[in-house]
Parts: sequence; structure tokens; C-alpha cells
Amino acid sequence: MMLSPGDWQALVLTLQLAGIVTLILFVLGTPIAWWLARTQSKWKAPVGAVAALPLVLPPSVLGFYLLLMMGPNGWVGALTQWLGIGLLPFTFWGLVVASVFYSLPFMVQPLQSAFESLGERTLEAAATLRASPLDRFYSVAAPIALPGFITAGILTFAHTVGEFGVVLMIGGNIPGETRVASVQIFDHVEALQYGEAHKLSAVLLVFSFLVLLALYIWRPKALRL
Amino acid sequence: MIRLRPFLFAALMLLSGHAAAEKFTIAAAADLKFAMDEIIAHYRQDHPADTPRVIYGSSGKFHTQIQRNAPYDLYFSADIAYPRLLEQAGFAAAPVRPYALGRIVLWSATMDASRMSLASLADPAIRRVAIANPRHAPYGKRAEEALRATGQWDKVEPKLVYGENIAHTAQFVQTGNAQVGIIALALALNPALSRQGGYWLIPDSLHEPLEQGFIVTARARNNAAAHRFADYMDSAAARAVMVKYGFVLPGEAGK
Amino acid sequence: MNAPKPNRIEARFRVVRENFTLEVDLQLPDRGITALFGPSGCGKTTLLRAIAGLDRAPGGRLVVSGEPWQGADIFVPPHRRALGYVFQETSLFPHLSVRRNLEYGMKRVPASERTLHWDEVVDWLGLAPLIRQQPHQLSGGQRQRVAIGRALLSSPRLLLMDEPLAALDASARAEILPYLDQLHQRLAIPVLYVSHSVEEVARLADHLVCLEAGRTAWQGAAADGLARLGVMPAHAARVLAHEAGQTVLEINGQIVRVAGLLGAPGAPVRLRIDLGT
Repeated sequence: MMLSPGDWQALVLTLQLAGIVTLILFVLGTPIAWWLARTQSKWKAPVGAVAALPLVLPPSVLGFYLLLMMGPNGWVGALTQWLGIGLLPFTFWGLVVASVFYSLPFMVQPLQSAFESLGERTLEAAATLRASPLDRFYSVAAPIALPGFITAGILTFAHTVGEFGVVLMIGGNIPGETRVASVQIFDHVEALQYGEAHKLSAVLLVFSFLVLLALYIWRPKALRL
Repeated sequence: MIRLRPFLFAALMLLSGHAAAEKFTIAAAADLKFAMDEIIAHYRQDHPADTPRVIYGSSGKFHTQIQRNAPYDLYFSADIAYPRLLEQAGFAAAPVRPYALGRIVLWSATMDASRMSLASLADPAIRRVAIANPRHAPYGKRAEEALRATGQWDKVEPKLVYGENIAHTAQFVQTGNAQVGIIALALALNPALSRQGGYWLIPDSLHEPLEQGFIVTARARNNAAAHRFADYMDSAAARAVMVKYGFVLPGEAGK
Repeated sequence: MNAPKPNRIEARFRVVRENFTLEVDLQLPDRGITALFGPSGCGKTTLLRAIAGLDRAPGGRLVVSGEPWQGADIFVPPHRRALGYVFQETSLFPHLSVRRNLEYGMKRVPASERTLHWDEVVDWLGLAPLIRQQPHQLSGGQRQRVAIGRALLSSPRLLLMDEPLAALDASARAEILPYLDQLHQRLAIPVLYVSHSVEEVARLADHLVCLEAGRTAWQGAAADGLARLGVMPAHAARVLAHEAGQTVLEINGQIVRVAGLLGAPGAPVRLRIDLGT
């Protein structure tokens, strides 16, 4: 393809970021979504609202506050330094942490919906058939909720690929580390190199389309969003 | 019978008064934030009937938008190259006028930058250095030029982090995430930043001049207020504000 | 309080609900079918779910065949109780075939502890033709049969059935009742059968508990209970032959002929004699 090495690097970095963030959110988001779907506790509403907050916060605002919190004067920064990790801004893993926050609702909400539509009966039936809570989750809840997992995964991945404001604020635009495709495209535009911008945007668009198409063909029911 | 003449007279007065006082919109580069706010305040005292509005942002973006009929009447760019391009393409009402020479400085919120020089950036204690993105930010380009001119580029480049514009770059340094940054003098002089730390002026012999220029856009060709403001930039009051914020006026020698 | 008899089910619960308070202290037989009977909203499902441990009733007490499932310091969660539960709305797992549904509970019981086996359960409930199908392909009656089979294959010590026929239409109910008829003969374990239908109770129950507004109104042998409800009891009978448009039945050593062809020769049936005017 006609992309420059810098563009390729940005693309690969973007896919790595989106992939890792999606995996992390599967692990973190599933228990949160499960709890939200099934709890009767009075904490359900506030926790749900907090989990949905990143949806309404402007990304650059979120990015700015993360910059403060992760910096040497913030409590996250103090924590990471104490742990010997150093500071998170300007690093790939800093982007991962920020993206996990930012894309959290895209994982939690579809999963919560899927778990809620399970209803009580099916899981109670499993309980009466000697299945422990964890067993019930793996053998009954998760397989039935699979379309929800797929939707959540796609939305999270796509959302992270398209992420711009947060990355811009805390990334520092370092090639090979934090210069993701969205920032690269923006830089092309700012530098008035529209041809480069068009090319990279097109590649991103085609890739996303192919992923969605493949999933639609293979598992159409999964994508009834 | 209605007395027509006084009525017509009053209407004419109203119309002419109304036509003379106009609204206009200024698109200004990010580094002008504090200076331009103050100039506008002075302008409004002298011309209370005019209603200026200002938007700050990236010079490059404004350039693109004006070509697509963005509603700006005046365009102040941090790099004179952009308004010159617009003039050539027919988007200016009159030739480009330079309004300042920008200067770059080393600034830090956590260390004493006033005692530093560009060579200090190689110090391992400085882990991150913030500059504006040289690809499209004029201040970033000059920062790179200065680093190359002093032979520091190879040592410092691995430590660089890039802000999208000069204000963003300052933010990296303000929050302590970058120990030192190369930013605009105009920003370092502002109390919000000067309170946190001092600066070291980078000799302008080390880089191409940051000629900054503005135009009245073609769109505002017949906007009398826009032209009034353009002329006001030459007034003593406006020039004094620019100097106060560290801009070197065109025609005057740099330090 | 008497010492608990080792082979009974002891259930004592107090559950406060919106419209009533369930307050019962029952000793139930550990064999045969015990019907929990009463109008809607009298607490029978609440009681059944409390016995299953699906709803945790604080302060309740439950001992099954000498083993405490709930008490002052103890609450055995449902998945550790050897019980089977058939819900009113079928709860087959939609993502599993009939075979896998049936195997679900069975797989979770060690082979050495299994008391009911695949062949006998499948055979009794007539499930062989359904094995390869998916739940959504089955009729309501077929699904409930699979649900019963699934519950039995987990080798329960107690079978709980919560109005299993209430959600079925008349023909589905007619299809499934003959299978339920034989519960007494086939199962060595007790069955608690919740119903608001007098017909079902009359046909199936050995023992009867009547609930009203959360309390036990009456408890005793089904025959006596039904009389109290104005229903004649059902007698165990056997069809001997079909002859000339009549069915010859043997009941309590007596031969009886009735008009019409009922049941299959050799099959056990229950006969109710209605002396009403």
C-alpha cells in the first residue's frame, strides 16, 4: 500500500491499543456489568451513573484531568511513582489506562443489557441443577449473553480506535509510542497535507468496515444493537 | 397630516448610526490569548459602538477554514506564511500586515529555567521536554531549528513530547509532566505561568524569525469596523500591549 | 416440640410479603406426592421457593430426611441441595440441545451418587424422539416433560413442582398428565406439587396441604382432604381389557365396567366416582 512508514506505525499502534484495551475491559467490565444487572443494592444507581460518566464528559476535558491526576502532582502519579512504574503520561500504557476509563461504558452497557435480559428463571433452574454461581455464569449466563459480549467488544474496540481528544491531551504525540492513527490524521490535516490524511482515513475506514461486515455475515443476531 | 420630514430625518439618523457600528469576528493564534484580550478591551473603550468577538486557535486550522468561507473578518496568524497564502489565493481584502515577531523561551514549573540554556536540556535529570509539533506549529518549528543550531537535537529528540499548539505544550509543563518546555514568550510572561517559574529567552539568532502577520479577510472587505480595528493595531495603546506581552514589534530590534 | 422424625420433611418458615405473611410449621411425608393447594396469592409458591432455598427466608428451618438445609446457623445454598425443581414457565436452557439440557444436572452429580439413570428417565417420559432437538422446536408439553426429566436426572432427594401445568393449554395438559399419573409408582422420592387446580390435586395427590392467606388451613391424606373440598377421591385401578365398547377395570379387587374406551389394557389409572346429583 502507499502509506508512509509513519502512517503504518500509527495504524499498528492504534490496533494494539484498541486490542489491549478491549481485552482489559472484558476482564474488568464483565463483573461490573454483572453486578449492575443483578443487584438490588441501593448503590446500583450511583455506580451505574459513574460507569456511564465517560459518555458525557468531553474527551479533551477527561484527558486534561487525567493529565493532572497522572502527573507528578496527582494522586495516580504519586501511586505509579511509588510502585516504581514512573509516570503514565506520554507512554503507551498511559494511553491504555486512559482508554480503559474512556471506553468503559461501551463495554459495560451492552453487557449489562444482555445480562438483564437473561431473567431470573434460567439461572435459578441452573442452581437447582447443582451449578454453583461461577458454574452458572460460565455454563449458562455467558453463552446466552454471547451476542452482548460481541457487541460490547466491537463497540469498545471501535471507540478506542476512534479516540482522539483523550490521546491528544495526554499522549504527547510520540512516534511509535503514542502517535496513534487519529492523531496522525489530524497532524496531516493541520500541516495541510490533505492527500496523506485522506489515505490514512480511508485505510482506517475500510478496515473497520471489513471487521463489521465479517461479523455481520457470521453472526448477524449478535449485532442487533 | 403627518409631519414627514422629522420622521424621515430620525429614520436616517438611526440607520446611519446603525450602519456605522458593526460586529466583527477575529480569529487569532493561541499565543495571542492574553495580549489580544487586552487590546480588544482598550478598543472597546475607544469605540463603544463596535462589538468585536475573538476566537483563539491554531493558525493552520484558521487558514483552512477561511478558504472554506469561515465567518472570520480578521485573521491573526502566528506564522506570516499562512496569511500570505490566503492573500495570493484572493482571500484577503488588503495586503498582509506584520504585527509582531514571536520569541521562544525555555520554561519550567518545577525547575529554575532562568538559569538554563539549551545545552542544559541534555541533562539526564530532565526526562521530558515539551515542544509544539514542528510539523504544523510555527513555535514548534522554531524550537526544532534552535535545537539543531546548537547541536542539541540528537540528544534531546528522544525526550521530546509534542503539543498540538503552544498552549497545549505549556500545559504539559505546567502539570509537571514535562520538566521543561520551549514555549512562546507571550505565554511565559502571563502571570498564570510566570508565578510558577521563570524563563530563559532563546537567542533569535538560533532560528528563523517568527514573523507574525494578519489580514482583513475578503469577506470583511466592506466591514468598516474590521478596518477600524486593523488600523487600531498601529495605535500606541495596542503597540504598548504587544510589547508588554513580550512581542517584538516589527521594525524594532530583538534582544 | 417433638424430636424430628428421621424420614420426614420439616419446614418452618415465616416470610413477610406485600399482601400476606406466610407462616407455616409443617411436617410432610417423605414419600408420595404432597400437593400444596390453595387460591392464587395464598403463599404456596413462596413456600416452595423457600424450601428450595431460592428465596432466603430469615429465621426459617428446613430439615429433609434428617439433613438440615436451613436453620439457625446454617443455610445450604440451592446448588448444594439435592433437589429438583420444575418451574411453571419452562426454563430449559435455550443454548443447549434437549440432550445437553437433560445432562446438565446429571453431569454435576458424581456417578456413584446417581440414583436415577438416563435410560429409565428418558423411557418413562417418552423423551427419546426429542433428544436431538432444540428447546425452541418443542411444544409446551414436550418442554415441561424435558424439564421434569432434567430435574430427575440430577438424582434429587426431593422433587418440587411449581404449577407445572398452569402455563399449558388443555391439549398439552392432557398430553402430559398420563406421565405424571405414574409418579407414585416410579419415584421413591417425595414430590411437593403446588397447584390451584382441584382436578390435578384429585388426580395426583397422596397427601394434601391446604393454604389460605399464608397459613395452613388443613393437612392430611388426599382422600380426606378432597372430600372436604367436595371432591370425590380417586382410586387406584387397572384397565383389564376393552370389550364391546366398554372398559373393564379392576379396582380394589372388584371388577367394574364403564362405558367408553379409556386407557390402555394393562395400564394403571385412577378412577374417581362422582356421586353428585
